[in-house]
Formats: sequence, C-alpha cells, structure tokens
Amino acid sequence: MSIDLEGTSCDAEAARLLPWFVNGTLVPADAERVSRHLEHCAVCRADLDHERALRTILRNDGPIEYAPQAGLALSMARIDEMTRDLPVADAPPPPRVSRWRRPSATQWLSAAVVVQAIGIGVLGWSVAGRPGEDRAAPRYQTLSSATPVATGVHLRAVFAPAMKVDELRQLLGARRLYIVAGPTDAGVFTLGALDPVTDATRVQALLTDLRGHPEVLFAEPAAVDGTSIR
Amino acid sequence: MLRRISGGDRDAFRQLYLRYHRRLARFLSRVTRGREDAEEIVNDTLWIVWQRAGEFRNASRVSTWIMGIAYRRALKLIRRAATHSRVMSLEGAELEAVAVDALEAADTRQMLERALKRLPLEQRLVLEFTYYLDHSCEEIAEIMECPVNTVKTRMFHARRKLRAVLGEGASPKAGG
Ligand SMILES: [Zn+2]
Repeated sequence: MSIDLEGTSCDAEAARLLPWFVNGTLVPADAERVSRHLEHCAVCRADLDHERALRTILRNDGPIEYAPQAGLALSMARIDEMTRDLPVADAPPPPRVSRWRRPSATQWLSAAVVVQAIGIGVLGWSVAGRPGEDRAAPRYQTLSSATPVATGVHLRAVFAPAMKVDELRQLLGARRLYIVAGPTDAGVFTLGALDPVTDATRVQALLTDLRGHPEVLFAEPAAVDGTSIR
Repeated sequence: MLRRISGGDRDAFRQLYLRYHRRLARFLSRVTRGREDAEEIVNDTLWIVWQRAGEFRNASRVSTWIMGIAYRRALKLIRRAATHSRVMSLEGAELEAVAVDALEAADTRQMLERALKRLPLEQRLVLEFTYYLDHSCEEIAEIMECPVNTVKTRMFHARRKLRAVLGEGASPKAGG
C-alpha cells in the first residue's frame, strides 16, 4: 500500500503530477522532475505501478461499439430543419440546445413530420432551403401507391445505403408500413402505419422489430397530432 | 475544419461528427447511466459545435474545446439525474459500506467500477479525463474551467479514495 492513510504518504508536488507522468502529457521539465523524484521515493515508485495498472484497466472497457450513423442522421436532419426555416445571411439563431432533451426531441420530430408532409402533399418539394442547395425529390415516394391519411404514430428510420428498393418494399409491406416522407439529405425516412398504431406497447414492438432488421440502421418514434408514445 | 463548419459546410460537420462520436460516446457512457444518456450528450455536444463553431478560438485544441462542451452537457444531465436518485458521493460513513461492497464484488474490475461510481463527480471526471482520454493537467483545467491546482487536488483525492476502497490485497492487475 503506497499511500498510507496514517499520514506517512509522500506529499511532494511530484507525487501529485504522477498521473500525468503516467499518461505522458507532462511538459519535459515536469517529467524530468517526476523522474528525479521517483529515483529516491519508494512510495511514489509503488504508486507508479499502481497508477499504470489503474490506467490499463480504465482503458480496457470491453467491446462496446457505438454506431454513429443514427445520431448523425438525426443531427443532419435537424440541420435540415433548421436551415430550411432560416434565411442564410442572418446571424445564427440562439442555441436551442435544451430542445434535444428527449421529450422535446419528440416534439421536434413531430414538427419535422408536419413540415415534410406539407412539403410533399401540398406544395411539392419546393420548400426553400439554403440558396444553391439541392433538395432532391424523395426517391422512394412512389413506392406507396395511394398515400393514406396520416394518422397515429409515425416513425423515422434510416436504411442501409446498400439496401435495394425491392428489399425496402418488402420490409415495409411485411409490417404494413408506408413512406410518409423522405429520404432527407441525411437519409431519414418518415414512416406511417397502414393500420394506425397508437398503443405504446405495439409501437415499441414495431420499433424492436425494425431495429432487429439488418438493413435498418436506425428507427425511432415520431409523434404526430399530439400523439405521444413515450 | 471548424471554420468550414461555421460556414455551414455539412460535409465538414459529418466528418467531425464521425471523428468525435466514438471518443465522446465511449467516455460519456462511462460517467453517465449508460449508452442512451451518452448518445444524447454526444448529439447535444456536436449540435452545439455546429452552431458555435465560429466562436472557437485557436488558443485551445479543438478536442479540448469540444470536450469542454461535452463536460458541461454531461454535468447538467448527471446533476438532474442525481436529484432523482442519490448518486456519486462518497463521504464519511459511506466509505465503509463501499469497502464491504468491494469485498463482495467478483473481481478487481467490478470493485473498481463500484468505487468509481461512488467518487464525487469532479474527481471521477478528472480520473477519466486523465487515464481514459489522456488529457494533460492543463487541458483538464480548461475543460472543467477550474485552476490547474484544483485538477491536481481532485486527482489526488480520487486516487486516495480508490486506494482506500481497493486496498493493498486488491491492488489492480493489468488485464485481470
Ligand atoms: Zn514520492
């Protein structure tokens, strides 16, 4: 035990720098100072081993993998929404960071759905974006024939770029889903259910099912008409 | 990169997002309740970066600036969570309880995790910034907006408490 709780621990400044000696970020003068201290302080030498072991353990935190695509798609979609509504020359808007909180994120998604529904159904896809920015018509819009009235819960989903149109049609058909809007620049589709699903348990089951599909990179609920599924 | 982002360059933002997502998410999932919180903070953070890229000053490293934003977002979320459940405090009598917990834990790694969770948040974060993200003492001071000496003191306390919990017999072995 190197730091003695009874009070014989080394309290030199070099001892306090030890962790950054271990991670290699000390400026040369400080590193030199710690090296010299280590030569004659057994307490700190023992500490050094301990801290190295601690660092190794902390850095070795298992094979957790994070898929950035979902968050990236959401962020890009959010940028879409933001820039669509704003004249580009204006000063940046006051940060609305708190709107990313989950409950209000749902509100935001809801607004996005409404905007997209209007854009497609009424005005066509001529919503003003940034000048010079291409806003291509949604490629898969025609997959669903008669577009049903949007009721109940909507979902937002991102599919694997390599997914074929046939596969997408099959995936949606099997779950009685149709495309309300999309894809956005970020590849986000808004999906509706042919049999309106408003029950939270069924929405969750649908989401779980979708997320389990290898070609679905991302799926999350989007509420419309004040329907809350959380 | 940040200059391009401040000019509204989406490709630059996409690149930055991919570059920082993993680093931020893995780190944040360690100090929050898990992946969902972490993802939320990552998105918050990079959204702020998109909005405020123009405010970045070259005095600091980009990674330090971004980590500072993530740190403040994480603090807010963690403190809000803490008002609902008593977490992340290790004072006085609790130390004993932790030591008992530690004895019951299956291995050093688990004991360490428990001890880490009970460290005061600032101490925990200094430890993670140092050993998990390899930031220098000065960078951590910038991220946490506190004096360098405070960083050193927090680290010293964190080490002392971990030692008290893990004890001599349970000195961590790398890889074990
Ligand atoms: Zn010493």
